[in-house]
Amino acid sequence: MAQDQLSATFAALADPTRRAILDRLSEGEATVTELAQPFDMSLPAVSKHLKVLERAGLIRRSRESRWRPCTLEAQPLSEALSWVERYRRFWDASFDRLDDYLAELQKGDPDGRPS
Amino acid sequence: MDVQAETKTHELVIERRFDAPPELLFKMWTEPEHIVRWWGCPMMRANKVTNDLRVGGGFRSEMTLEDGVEHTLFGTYREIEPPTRVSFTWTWENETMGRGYETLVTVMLAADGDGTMMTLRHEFFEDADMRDQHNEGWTASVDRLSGIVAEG
Repeated sequence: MAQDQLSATFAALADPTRRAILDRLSEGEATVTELAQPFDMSLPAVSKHLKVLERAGLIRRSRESRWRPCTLEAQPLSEALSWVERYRRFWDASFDRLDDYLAELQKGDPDGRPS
Repeated sequence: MDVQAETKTHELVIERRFDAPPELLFKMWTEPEHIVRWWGCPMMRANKVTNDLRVGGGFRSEMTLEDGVEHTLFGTYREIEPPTRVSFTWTWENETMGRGYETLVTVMLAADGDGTMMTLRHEFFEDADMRDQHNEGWTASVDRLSGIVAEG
């Protein structure tokens, strides 16, 4: 996955309004007016958030329809999750070793001080 | 040994209990002679670690994998509060992939009976602004989204 895509995904997610919009879209497509409804925000302000999400590839907007409903694109989110998984593997392996190493260090030393 | 893990889209949180006091865990995280004994992915063969343990000081870890590939990991200490908390930035670099993202690692250590409950948070951030927004916490909507993505 390109670094720029990952940066764009995380940057787009770093805003509560945009996360709420994605949450709404996870239930199905919606128009800008529908998306703006729960927020105390002008339509142009909501459109700005939608543009960020669209640029990051997290949503798709229909070009044909007059109402241009928005739909969620799950692929970049899924790639962001696999980025997290790489780190999980690193730490899980490390902590298994740390467990063994701590046991070795504390052998015969009730205070647990490394020699 | 308890292992609990939670995945959000932007961060990794791992909780784990160790049979050792927080003071010893803190040394494990901050002293190179100990770090080299456990840090690393499953493929790691050797690790050379140097550090300058003060806020703003750096650390560097040069890892050699079983296939001979070398990875460098480096960062800067952000918080040092023995024996309960240490945080540092974390960036990978290797010859073929170049430099990776800067991420932030926060380790929290709490006494738990004879042992320590450790919470590790590893999060992605691009800059201070984004990190601060992350610290505000993420809404339930992202948790649900993660669930949807994981199923899809």
